[in-house]
Amino acid sequence: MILQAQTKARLLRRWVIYGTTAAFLFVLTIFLLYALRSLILPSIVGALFAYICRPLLGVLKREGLSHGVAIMALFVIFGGVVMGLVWQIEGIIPDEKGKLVLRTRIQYKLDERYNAVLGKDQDKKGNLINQLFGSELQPMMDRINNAIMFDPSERIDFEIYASEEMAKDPMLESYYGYYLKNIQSDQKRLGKAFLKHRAEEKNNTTGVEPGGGKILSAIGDIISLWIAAPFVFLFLLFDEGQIKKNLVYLVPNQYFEMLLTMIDNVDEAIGNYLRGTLVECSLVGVTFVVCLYLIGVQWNFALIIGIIAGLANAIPFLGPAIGLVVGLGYALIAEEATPLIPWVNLDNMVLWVLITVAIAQGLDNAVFQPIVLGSAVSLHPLVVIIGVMGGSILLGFSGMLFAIPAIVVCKVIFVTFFQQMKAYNII
Amino acid sequence: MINPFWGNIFEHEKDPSQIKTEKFLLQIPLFSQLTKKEARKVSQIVHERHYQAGEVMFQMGHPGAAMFIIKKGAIQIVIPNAQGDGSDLELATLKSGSFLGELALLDDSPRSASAIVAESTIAYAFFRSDLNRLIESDPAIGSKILKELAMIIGQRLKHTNEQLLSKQKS
Repeated sequence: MILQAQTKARLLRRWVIYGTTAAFLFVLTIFLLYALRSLILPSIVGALFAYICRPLLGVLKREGLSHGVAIMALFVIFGGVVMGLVWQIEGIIPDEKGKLVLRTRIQYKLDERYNAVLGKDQDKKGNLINQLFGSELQPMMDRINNAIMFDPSERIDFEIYASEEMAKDPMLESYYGYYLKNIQSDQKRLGKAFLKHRAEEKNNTTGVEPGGGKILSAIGDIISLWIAAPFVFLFLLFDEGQIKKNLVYLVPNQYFEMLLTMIDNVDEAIGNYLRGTLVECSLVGVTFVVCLYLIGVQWNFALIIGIIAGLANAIPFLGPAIGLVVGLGYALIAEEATPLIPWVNLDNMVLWVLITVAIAQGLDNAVFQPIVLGSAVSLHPLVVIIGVMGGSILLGFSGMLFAIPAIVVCKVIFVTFFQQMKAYNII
Repeated sequence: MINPFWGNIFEHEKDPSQIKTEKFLLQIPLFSQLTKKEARKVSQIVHERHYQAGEVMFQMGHPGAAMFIIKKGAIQIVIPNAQGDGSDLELATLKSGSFLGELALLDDSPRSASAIVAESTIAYAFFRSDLNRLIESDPAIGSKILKELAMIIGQRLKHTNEQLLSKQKS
């Protein structure tokens, strides 16, 4: 009787302690996640790369490298690749003045192409497309133009920049011509509203944006946050099972074997999916780079468009569209092309970008996905669409990018959890 | 009476509960061919578990995922009575330095018997998935463990054959 009471008391004590600890840990985790939310994305990226690198670590160790040396070799290789890409991308990211020039070119070329497609460049009435869809397309085009047109202070900046630099850069003369045409078109579109802008412009004499310090501190913040990624990468690779060991130590003996089996199954399924997706996206990116280079896109622009298209390919349905928009954007504003394929020129580059996207997507669907991903994890298209939209609402572009991997992780965990519960006769 | 099939023919004299994990592992036949450094690597991936008397270590029919090595305590190997009236068939009692469930290192086929903790026990669990990863990353360690595992299973098979033969003769 006494023994029974003691056992009961012990059981109660155990539940109280476990319950309190679990509640405390839950609250602490939520608090930490909220307080350190800006560190979540860099940590996820670091963890993702560590996950992807684990089989490579095994290969290097099989070749006779010690654990530490193999990790450092991977770190140097990965760091080198990332630094190389950043260096390439940095070279083509325009400064503030370059951005003004780019916007001038985009606005001018978009107008030019739009008018050409609708036949408005030759006849004010336009062609059949204009008659059929012109009334719907025009408001959309106006909205795009309103979004990229200069505000008064930007006009002053551009005019000062053009007057100072025109002698050194002959291309700037033609861009200044674009600028004047853009102003004409803005005036035509906005009417009196534009004149109001001009009046404000005259009163605005400062011209220079006081945002330099803010940009520098923002870059500093980003660097200090992203420094977490390599640390997470290194610590996860250096770990040889201690994290898992410490986690499962708290699990009751009854569920211990089942839980570890579940962790291993989930680990394998997610690892295969993530590594497969990375290889698939890389292959799509490489296809983009090669095809764009062949049709005359500058090497560094082909690289950055390839990276964007490859990354976006992780977002089902929407990814190919992002690749297409970026590629078309370049084709629309391109001023020169040095194609390796003889019959490509600036006039038909848009068509060749479309062909590039078609080739990349065709290869992805017919070759890359079946070979690399196989039947790793399949999701219903409706889940995919809602997931991508939900990710976008919650976290913007990164949410869209990580929505599907997150859903796959949850699906694998739940499926494996219930499979194991049944296998061990728990349910 | 201890069944000769389940009685651990590799049991050691020393009290292993006081020894460091890697030293203890080197006393177990499965890991006896490893060097100290290799045993340290294995010690990092085994899971130490503490059991109270009466707890179930694993149940007959459940998929096997790990082999257990008893560091301290005793485990009863039983075939549960299908009618559930408590009269389970006791096959053996394993003590410190013994190991059980080694077939789980090969595949996840169901456990052929249940393991019930007879007295307060400390055991190490060595998982098949960890062994598979070890074979990938450190083939030298993996192959030594697999070779020993093959020998142990061979010896037990030989033993079973001898028992069958003697039963047939009698």
